[in-house]
Amino acid sequence: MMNCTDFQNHIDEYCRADLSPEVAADSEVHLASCSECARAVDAHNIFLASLKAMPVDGPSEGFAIRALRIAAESEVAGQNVGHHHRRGFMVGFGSAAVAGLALWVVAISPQQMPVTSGSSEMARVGVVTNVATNADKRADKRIPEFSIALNEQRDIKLAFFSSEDLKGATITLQMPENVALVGYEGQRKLVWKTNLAKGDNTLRLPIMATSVTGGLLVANIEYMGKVKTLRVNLSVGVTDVAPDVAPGLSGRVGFEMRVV
Amino acid sequence: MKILPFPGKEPASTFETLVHPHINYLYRLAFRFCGNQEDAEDLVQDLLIKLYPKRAELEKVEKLRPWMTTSLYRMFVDGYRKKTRSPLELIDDETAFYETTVSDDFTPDMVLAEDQRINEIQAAFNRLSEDHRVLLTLHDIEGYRLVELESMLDTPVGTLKSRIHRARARMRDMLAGNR
Repeated sequence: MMNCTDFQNHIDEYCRADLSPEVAADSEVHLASCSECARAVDAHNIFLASLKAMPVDGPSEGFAIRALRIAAESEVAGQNVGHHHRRGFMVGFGSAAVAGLALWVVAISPQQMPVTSGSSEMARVGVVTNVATNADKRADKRIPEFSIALNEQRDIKLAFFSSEDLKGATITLQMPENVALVGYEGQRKLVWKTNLAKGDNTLRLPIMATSVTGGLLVANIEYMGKVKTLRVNLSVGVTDVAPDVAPGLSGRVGFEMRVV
Repeated sequence: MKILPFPGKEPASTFETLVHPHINYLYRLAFRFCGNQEDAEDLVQDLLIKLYPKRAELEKVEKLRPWMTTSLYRMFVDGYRKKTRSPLELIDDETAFYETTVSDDFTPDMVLAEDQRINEIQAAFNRLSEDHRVLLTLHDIEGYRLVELESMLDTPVGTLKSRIHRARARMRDMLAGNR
């Protein structure tokens, strides 16, 4: 015959329905005749429910993706980034693994692109080694501009040129208010990892103009803690517009940055 | 020319495929252990950094979630107690559990209004020792059975049972003190 102490010794298992059929049956018999243990069961269940109801502050935005990326990069960099993840993980990665790597951004007209597709417009982001120019100053003044009609869906292609295979590069897209990324409506920022092959890499962005305003599309490519940014002005008109890029964008108009 | 895949279209790495489904869970555990977002993120991040070189080993783990839970726990014990300089509190008073009487446990009349009760539970939980927070998190919140925790934490069932009892008793005392 089960007594109160016996029952209390397996109250957890009883509440979890994790008792053998025999002990469960004995427990039910005991509870039927013991209001105190029945109250204890109720209280225990309330306690467990309260524990489970304790709120958990969610992680910071993009934590999972960022944490995976840092884990992968930590091995490549051969460094232990310790407890400084949020305070700027990129600080720890500009080391020997990428010494001599330089990144530059360039926009060219569709006629000059190695691959074209219908009326797609293209901006080009390059990743090369040992390039040294002062193009960054020019880039600030010559942001490529693309026009699109209101409610029109078109493709913009971004080309990433790399002089070597880059595993685990991170692309970040910040969409302007006047344009939506088809399939990702409502999302202004997208971040994901990808591998760049040596040579040309193309990213097609299907966009839809949603309001007649100007806006800036910002594309970042990050590798080994170094970030290059391409900005593209997206101009939305009420009527159809010509597909060409803005005048004066042929040839390299981007910038270059040395990795320190 | 390589056509770059759009977000979500690229096959994830093995490590990402294995680990990503568990990150929110691990963060939730870490938050319970640490009590704040910053330390919880650091704990999970450090775990992923530690596990990344072992990704081939991860593929062979049959039950990855408990395995990673154990790893997270050990990392917490090894590093974060030192970081916070909290004294290690191991309670091996196994007799305590078996001396339990019905009147020692929570009673329904301790139940308060929902929000107030949860707030008080939260406050009491945060004041527990780290050992106790870990055990209540794994056993009472996440639902691991004692036999599972025995292997995960490398601690005998009797000891676990005693510690869990003590943790609840501490909470009960703190909650009673609030009333």
